[in-house]
Amino acid sequence: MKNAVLVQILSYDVADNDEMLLGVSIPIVEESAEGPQARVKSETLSAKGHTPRDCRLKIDREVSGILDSSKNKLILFGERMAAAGIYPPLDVIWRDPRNSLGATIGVVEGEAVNLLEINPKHEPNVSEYIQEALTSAEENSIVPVQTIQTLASEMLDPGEDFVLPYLKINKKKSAVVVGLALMDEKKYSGNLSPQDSCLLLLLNNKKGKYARFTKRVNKEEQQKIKNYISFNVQNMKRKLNVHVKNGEVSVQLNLHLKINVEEYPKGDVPKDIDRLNKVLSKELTEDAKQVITKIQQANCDAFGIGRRLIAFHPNTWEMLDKMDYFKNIKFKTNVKVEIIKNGIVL
Amino acid sequence: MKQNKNRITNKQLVFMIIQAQIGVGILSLPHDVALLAKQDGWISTLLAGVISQAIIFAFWGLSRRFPSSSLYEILPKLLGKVVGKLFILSYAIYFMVTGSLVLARYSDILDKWILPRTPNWVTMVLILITCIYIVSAGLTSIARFYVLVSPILFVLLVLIVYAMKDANFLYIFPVGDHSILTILKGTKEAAFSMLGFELFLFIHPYVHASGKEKLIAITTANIFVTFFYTFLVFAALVYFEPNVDIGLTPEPLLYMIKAYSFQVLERTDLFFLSLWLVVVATSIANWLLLSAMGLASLFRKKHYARLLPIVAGVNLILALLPDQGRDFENFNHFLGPTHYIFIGIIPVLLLILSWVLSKKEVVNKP
Repeated sequence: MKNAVLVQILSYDVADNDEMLLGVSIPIVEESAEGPQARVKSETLSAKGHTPRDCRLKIDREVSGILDSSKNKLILFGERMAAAGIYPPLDVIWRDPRNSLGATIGVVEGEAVNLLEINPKHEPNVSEYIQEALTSAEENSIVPVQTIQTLASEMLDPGEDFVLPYLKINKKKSAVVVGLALMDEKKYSGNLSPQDSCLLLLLNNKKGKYARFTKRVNKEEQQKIKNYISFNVQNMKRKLNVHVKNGEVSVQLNLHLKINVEEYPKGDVPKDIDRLNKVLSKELTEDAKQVITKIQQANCDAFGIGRRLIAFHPNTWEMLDKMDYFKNIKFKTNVKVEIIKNGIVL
Repeated sequence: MKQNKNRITNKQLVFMIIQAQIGVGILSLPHDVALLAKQDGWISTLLAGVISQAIIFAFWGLSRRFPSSSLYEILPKLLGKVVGKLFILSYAIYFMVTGSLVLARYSDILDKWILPRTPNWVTMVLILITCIYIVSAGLTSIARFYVLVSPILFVLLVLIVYAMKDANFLYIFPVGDHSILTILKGTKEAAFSMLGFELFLFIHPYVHASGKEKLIAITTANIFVTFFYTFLVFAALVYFEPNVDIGLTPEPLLYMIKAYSFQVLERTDLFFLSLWLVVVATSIANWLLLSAMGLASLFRKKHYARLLPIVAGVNLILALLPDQGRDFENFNHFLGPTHYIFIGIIPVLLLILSWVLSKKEVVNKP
């Protein structure tokens, strides 16, 4: 235990010659001269090899102790690695009892190992930094709360696909969560913007603490800022019904959002309330339809419609194409928005 | 006359049967059942409870006809001395082999999950010493210990219920999609985990209760175990995708709670395993008791305690033989039919024989 070097993040990338590149981020504790608090920095090591274990053995030779991944919190996949399939490289995580199943998974634009090498000024430990970014994205309903453990069943389920946090390196050498990576079975197949991600999570009944949107509701105001409204979703109700008629699957998806207006520069919400409800309902219904088109293009059954078919219409499921069924499902989407609060001024 | 320190109450009987039934199989039961019956595994488990109940009725019938004799005393009475002794010997060997399998599976799981660098014989010897200590103290002490450790089952239950917050209840549908035959195949697997109630045949003379009360006691135990198992299987079925995922995880219940960490507790599976150890110890103690009792009556020893180290030694040697997963399968395949013979067929035949020969004990009414 004394010699253990704790791994905080793992990154998987595709390397040349049929090899892969494994990156690990390990913490370095520095006794600070001024105060009692020790500063925790981090260091990134990487090695190429055939499998994650193979790479890890090589890194093990480099560090002055034994790598211990039992406290690992995050596994990042480079885009190319994720597109090849994320299940096989995770095998070792499930097989070795010492590994932590509480870790979560993310997909990084480009190479994942680059994200471990960023150097944010206010937080010298990369792992803490990325974790906090993800936690805040979870709170804001941009990415769902999930762990390797909860993902395992969804990965293996033919009737359900999953979404992962999608991260990107900023020009200023910091990281941002830029929405969701859509997975088709176990492969990366597309991504969504933060606003779309948030709406997808609402449609999937996986709201976090907050769900904030800014929408254009007026057209004619001279001062541009007066055209917009910002709100947070307070309560929501989602209804998803799967219908089968002559082997054709259709889905009725109703979303009822009760919102709290946080910013309306034009002022006086109650006067406009009926029109705002109507305009926002129409806008969000349109947006929802677009989000669904996008996930259908990526063939990512994030709603688990296939699982519902297996459960309640097993005969229909038998006849469907198991790979491409999701693209052919007809969605009827309706979002209803209702303003219930408008802050401490009208 | 039975010694006073060997008396147990009817309530203690309930706990003894429960502890005997719940054992090493609890961790892998959902996997074994789901491999065959998929999402209908929980129905299989319920049916297994019904089947054990039927056998329990037969046991009870036998105990009614011989209210103060254990099976080891009934055998010579019904079959004659020589054949009876032969049967006693085979029972003793059967319990020894079953005990060894339990021991081997226990140390295999410990080796895989928490103590990969500890030699297996160390974990085996440690639990055997503990079990010898428990068993040598006599029935009353065994019963009290079993009652004392029973709350552990509720802790296990609570941990599993907590894990169900991430369950997907759609996995259980469509209910009854598989044919009766497939479900019954699952029942066969589940029935092996129900074993242990045969303890009743050997301890019923020591229970201080009327025949009817005894029946209520073992039925209560069996119903509890059946629902406990059914719930565990159900929990695992809604947690893991029932076609592929659960097939890949031989110990689904451990996997379920491995991912969760609490404020003061990380790697919850380690905590779960250390509680599970006690549950396994009680069932190993059981097999030890039964085979030592058998040998004692075979050699006309008054007390079985001296034979315990011998039985434990044989257990240890047998348990050290298998050293890979495939050996367990062979071991299990070999034991499968013997379970039917010793637990199902022989007691039922004895009951019928006692009817046909109209042999029964003369009860001295005070």
